[in-house]
Amino acid sequence: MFDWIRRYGVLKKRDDFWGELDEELKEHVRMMAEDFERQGMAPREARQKALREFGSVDQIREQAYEAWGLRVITDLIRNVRASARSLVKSLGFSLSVVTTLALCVGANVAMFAVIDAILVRALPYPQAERLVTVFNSIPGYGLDRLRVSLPNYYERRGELKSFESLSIHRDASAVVGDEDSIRRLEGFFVSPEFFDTLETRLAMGRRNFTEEETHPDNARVTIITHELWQEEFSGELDALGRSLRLDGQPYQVVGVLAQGFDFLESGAAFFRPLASELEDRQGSGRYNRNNYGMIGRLRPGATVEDAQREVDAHNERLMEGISKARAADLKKAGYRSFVYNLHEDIVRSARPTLLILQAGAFALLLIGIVNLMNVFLIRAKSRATETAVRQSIGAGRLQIAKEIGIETLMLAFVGGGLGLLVGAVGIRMLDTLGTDQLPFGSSIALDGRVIAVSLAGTLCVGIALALPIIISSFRGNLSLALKAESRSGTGSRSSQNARNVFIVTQIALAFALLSAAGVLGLSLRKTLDTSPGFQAEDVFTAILGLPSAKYPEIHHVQSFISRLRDELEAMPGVEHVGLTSALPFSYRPDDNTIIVVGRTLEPGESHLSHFTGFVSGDYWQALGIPLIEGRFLEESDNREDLRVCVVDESVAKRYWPDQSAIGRLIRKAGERDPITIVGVVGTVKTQDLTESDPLGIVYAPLRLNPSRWMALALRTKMDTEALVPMINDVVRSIDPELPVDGARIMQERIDESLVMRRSPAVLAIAFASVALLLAAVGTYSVIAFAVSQRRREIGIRIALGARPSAVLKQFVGIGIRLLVAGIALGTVGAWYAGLGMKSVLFEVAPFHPNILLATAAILSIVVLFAISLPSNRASRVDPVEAMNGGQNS
Amino acid sequence: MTDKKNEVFQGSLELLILRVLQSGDRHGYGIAKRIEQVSGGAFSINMGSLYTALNRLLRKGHVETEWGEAETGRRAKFYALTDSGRAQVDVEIEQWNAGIAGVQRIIENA
Repeated sequence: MFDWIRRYGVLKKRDDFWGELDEELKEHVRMMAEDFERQGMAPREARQKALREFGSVDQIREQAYEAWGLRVITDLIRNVRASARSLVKSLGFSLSVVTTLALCVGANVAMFAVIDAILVRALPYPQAERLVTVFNSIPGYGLDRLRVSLPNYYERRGELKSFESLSIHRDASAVVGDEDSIRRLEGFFVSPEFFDTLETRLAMGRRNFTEEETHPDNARVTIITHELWQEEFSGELDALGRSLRLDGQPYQVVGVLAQGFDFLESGAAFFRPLASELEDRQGSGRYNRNNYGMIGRLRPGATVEDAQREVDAHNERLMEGISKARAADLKKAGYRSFVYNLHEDIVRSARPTLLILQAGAFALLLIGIVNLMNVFLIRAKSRATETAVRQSIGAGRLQIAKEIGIETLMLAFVGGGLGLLVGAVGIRMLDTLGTDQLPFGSSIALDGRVIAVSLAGTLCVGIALALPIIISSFRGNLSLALKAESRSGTGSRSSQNARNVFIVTQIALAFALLSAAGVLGLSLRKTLDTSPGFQAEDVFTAILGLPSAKYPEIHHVQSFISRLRDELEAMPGVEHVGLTSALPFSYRPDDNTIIVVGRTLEPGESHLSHFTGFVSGDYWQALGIPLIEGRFLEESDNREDLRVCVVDESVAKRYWPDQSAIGRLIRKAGERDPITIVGVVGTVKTQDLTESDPLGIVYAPLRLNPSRWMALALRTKMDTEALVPMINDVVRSIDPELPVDGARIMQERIDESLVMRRSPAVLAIAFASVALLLAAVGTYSVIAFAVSQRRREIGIRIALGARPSAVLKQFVGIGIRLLVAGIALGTVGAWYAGLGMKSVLFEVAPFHPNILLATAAILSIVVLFAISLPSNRASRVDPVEAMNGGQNS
Repeated sequence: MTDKKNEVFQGSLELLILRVLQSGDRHGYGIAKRIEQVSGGAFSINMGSLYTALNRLLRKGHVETEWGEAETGRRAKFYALTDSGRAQVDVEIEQWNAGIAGVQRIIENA
């Protein structure tokens, strides 16, 4: 420890050290000489004897310094300084290398930061790899992915041995704050052991709800996040036992979670017990109302497969308790519960796109490396004479290799360091592309881990770059190099071949990247061209959630809606006002199994589920959803004695493909009275422009599809800045304690849904552009080098009467051969890239001939231009100058 | 050079330096002279070895240096034991004795 400090002291003050040592040794010799004089020698003789006995001062100095074990470090410092000087001398070269690396490394750093945050980093819970999610699926009902039901939880809890703990949760939101600071907070209803399952740490209080608290009468308790505790209780320690007002009702705070806890980045601030009636907790209701997310913690040693087997067997046993017909129906529809690793499940949809982009960034890095290898080889070649001369006067190959290694690594690290900066900027830019909307997207950061991996990667890049040059400099025949440069004027065949292989690789990779970007871009184009089924322009939306305490009955909700509509319709500039609980591109609407009255099921067919939602006012007119048949719902349809609804075209076509749906009767599973269809409207995309096979929507008046959650839709030409305060004022005038959420234009909602398509395409195109540029630069430098190498030969040929056009043809020919080989190889690459991207493409074949042709055309134009510059120069070589001058042109 | 005299045993030089410095601070030449004198001229010291050993002791922190006025009236670098150096003398002597005893046993019994 102290050893290092003392050594560092010497290292830092090397010059002082050497100076003092010199003085010390000189004094030593002088004293010796004086002693000899005292013994009677003549001064001159004494001095000579002293010097002789002392030995070589230089050698002693070196030995003394050796004792500090600093030789390696000092040598390194000297080499680095020398390399830095030489790199600064060839500034253009250094800059181009550093820029290439910075771009390529930066792209990878940014992508890796995203991948690390989303796919690699474990969920922020202890032993998160043991957390799983369980969900139901009834494909035969059109429901591939449901959540779970309340009985699923109560019947499985404690029964399944693979689970250490099992819990369910369901979104809740509530209005918090005084009249002037009113705001809506997200929260969750959770089963008692929810935080046990996650193993969440607490700031204070308890993290479990009791079984008593799951009964509706005792459920007025809450566990809150550290942040909410700070906001609402100023972090006071007596907050426990005090009450927090949620939706105007008091809830006793029984626990405060540790700082920073954010359940799956939901932003949820409070948690309430999931209360239910005892009779709802078991029985055949388990197959309906799949409204709860289920998270389980596996026992140590239990695997997802163990849990899956156990859940399957348990489901099988429960099926024995229901009617044979129902069991047969469910089985026919493929009812099943799936157990997935929680983290994998959350990131599943983002995963393929992210991996594709990382592959793209990596391809870019490869192109960069190959490009640089070429540039380095060319540089080494043009310095071959210098190297050979140095070798012939005794510089060791090791020394030369060391210099090359240090030089390359230095460039790599400067480039890599700048790459980190580019990456940091890139991460910022990704943010604007919407990565913060990805699961865990807000935790994307350039942290120590990412930096460490990036630096390690940079080291590998440096080594990869240095190796070929070192190898070639070891293999390179000294005398040949000397001769070749000065006389014959043609480069050695094997190194020319290596350069050609590199350039072909580069063109191939650029081709694959370009075509992949093209395919992604076309897929985006097709997505954007897809109609959502409504006219998003001039539609403004906002979300309202009425607290049940204040609006206990449906007629309370109804009168709120009526007042709101009246007020808004009276506003100048507002064309249509509508409300619905099934707004596209917002929360997923409820779904219900719908039974068509009088229709017998075909063998193998099940009753399907459709989305259900209420509509009030001019909702369809506001969104611009067309009326296909019949009529829209009207205010009078809300009457007690009427049961009418509107279905979308997908529902109508599914059941009455060639007939009118008007007047037909349907009913919701679990309800007795049928509902008459009075109108058919256009089908809309509900979550995603690319969705096919829509679930279909059944729209009904509020009384038939009651909901306290609703979206407001306005058709108006007013802009958002003007609208938001107006709507806020209107809502406040009706209910001063009701916040308006999610106020934005419809197009914004659609744009948000496109984040996993737009951003990848934008990034891929950015990567491809850089790749194209690099390929052009790479080809240019190789041909330019070939030209400069063969100046003498060209000069002779021109002197002997060769036409400049023949010379031009020769070099363009070389370039075209490289280009064709690159494109051929690139087509293979594009094939594999296409295969990898298949799952994320929309209406585009992964291997698209037109895109390949366009890619080939673009690449050819750019590369041919890059070739033409040096080839042109070749054809204008002045023979006299070429014969006299050096190789540098 | 003084061929006939023995070179100091490898590794024992540091011990000798430490021991010599026990009787007072000395400069490099002083140390060399003292070792030669006390050994009755049995050892000569290679200057390269001397300065290597001194620097090694500096690195280990057993000695420290200070510029002072030598008997010549000129500036010279003086070496002095540090606390750890003082402790080290005993350790090294013990090790040396143990080593010698071992060598002795082998000579007599092997």
